[in-house]
Amino acid sequence: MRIIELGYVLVGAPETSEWRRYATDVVGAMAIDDPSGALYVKTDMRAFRIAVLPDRDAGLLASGWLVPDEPDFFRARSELANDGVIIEDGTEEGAGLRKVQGYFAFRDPAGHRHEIAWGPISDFTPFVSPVGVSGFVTGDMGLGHVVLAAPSSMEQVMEFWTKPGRFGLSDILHVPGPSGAARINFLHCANPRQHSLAYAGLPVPGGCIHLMLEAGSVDDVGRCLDRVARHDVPLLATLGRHVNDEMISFYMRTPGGFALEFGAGGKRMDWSEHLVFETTRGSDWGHQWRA
Amino acid sequence: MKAEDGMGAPKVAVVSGATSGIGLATARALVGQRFRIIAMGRHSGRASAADAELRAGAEGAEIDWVIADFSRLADVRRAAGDIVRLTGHIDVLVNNAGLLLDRRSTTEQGFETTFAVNHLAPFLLTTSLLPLLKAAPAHVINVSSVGHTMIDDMRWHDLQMERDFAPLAAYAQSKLANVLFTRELARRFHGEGLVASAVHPGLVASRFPLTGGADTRAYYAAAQASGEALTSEQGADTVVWLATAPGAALPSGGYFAERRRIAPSAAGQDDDGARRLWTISERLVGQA
Repeated sequence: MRIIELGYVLVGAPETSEWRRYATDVVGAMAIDDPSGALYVKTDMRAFRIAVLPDRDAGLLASGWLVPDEPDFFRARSELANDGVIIEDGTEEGAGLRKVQGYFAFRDPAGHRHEIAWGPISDFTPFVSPVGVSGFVTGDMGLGHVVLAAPSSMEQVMEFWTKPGRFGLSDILHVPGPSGAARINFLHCANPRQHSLAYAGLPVPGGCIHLMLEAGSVDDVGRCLDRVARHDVPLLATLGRHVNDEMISFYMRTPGGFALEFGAGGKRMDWSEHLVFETTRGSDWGHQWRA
Repeated sequence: MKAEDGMGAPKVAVVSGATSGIGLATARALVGQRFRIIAMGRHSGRASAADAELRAGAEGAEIDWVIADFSRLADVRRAAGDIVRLTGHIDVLVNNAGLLLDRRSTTEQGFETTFAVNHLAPFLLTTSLLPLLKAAPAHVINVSSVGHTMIDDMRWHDLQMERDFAPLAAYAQSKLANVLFTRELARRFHGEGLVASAVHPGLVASRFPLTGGADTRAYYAAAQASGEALTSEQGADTVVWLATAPGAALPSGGYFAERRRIAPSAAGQDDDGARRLWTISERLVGQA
């Protein structure tokens, strides 16, 4: 299957109002209430990039991956089904909620839910940040990236995403883990974002480590840090620059329990010239994690 | 403010593993909320020191200690009897005592020690105290861990891990058992008002990692050095929050971290597994 971008994420929340305040006042995105009870978080011309759905538990519910068109969609479905992956076909109501032509869902070998979708539906209303963020870098790069935990099934996860999923390995990071060094594998799909998906061999509450949104400039990052302080949002890692995607970013807590990496200046990759590398240090500077 | 039941009597909290770490921090916070505490520990010397610490600056604190070695189920059964003699009801039971080992060992009854101490002992304690727990009705808070996600499922055909033993796998299984026990406890007794929750406290710089393997000790030491490790008070935060705001835990059976209800692993959401573990545990503690 040919995945071209991380199109959307679904997030569960006991109180969507907490997300509304966070998304608008801190992140600087637009928040739109849907009659269904969902809260859409909009960061670009698309109708939404994060859908917050009322749920008993807080956390990431699914990562939504877009394929180019309907033939690719059905090809992806049959490839996965032939590989023995259990497919949950989407419903008309579900497609309406996701604002896509069609989707199906499955679980990766680590148990995380993913969806494959095609044909996003949008009225192309421009993005206007309520707090003056210049914009978010999406377009042909997708909404950002998601990093998930695979504490007991890294080999199976990598086999799945690099073979039927046709993701490429971008780079490898080693970090301390409870049973020695743990590996984080960064993966890219068919777009220039250095990684749209990563898996860490670490146990993490809720299973999602972080979601990344890329703003238009480093000034947007600095101003967001000011808002984080003003709204008493827990800062999880200080400002820093990553060695792999060269992004300048910081990490903060979201109402979903997982972290949000808010950054700028991510590298656009030319995959024909890429060399996979491994590092023991994820950042050139900064990104000091705190309790 | 004094925590009271509807009749004006102080609320009663039983806290295991209360001589240090998360348990001591939980007991301290609940003493501060004027709970009557029944604290459990393994060593009477450590219990005396913790008792003095809990009473310092807490005039009129009501604290009783019950000494029990959780690797001995007969000791747990006797401790439950001691608790029954101390109180007619329990408002909060915090099953916190737990350990991590660096090699396989077995208890006198032949159970793998991690499984016995971290799962069978709190299972036996809780089920032995059910009349007192139903009387309040109580909130049972099981200190589990995100470590439960490091194993795909219980090793149903080798729960004592006689084959391919790994200390972290044994720990992960015992913490998954805590999640499944919470789920089944909630299912069985929600009709009687009993609330059960499991908690991931975070990576806490306590005595806990000291009995683990070299890699685990190094991991905790690195987290402590970088400032990423939590204090015992931070680790106890969600436990204390749940103990003092039981409505936050409804519907019963949830898994919490950082004061948020989150999803446990897929195996931790398996209701059949939860029933199965309960049945097996009843049989195992019945034999012992």
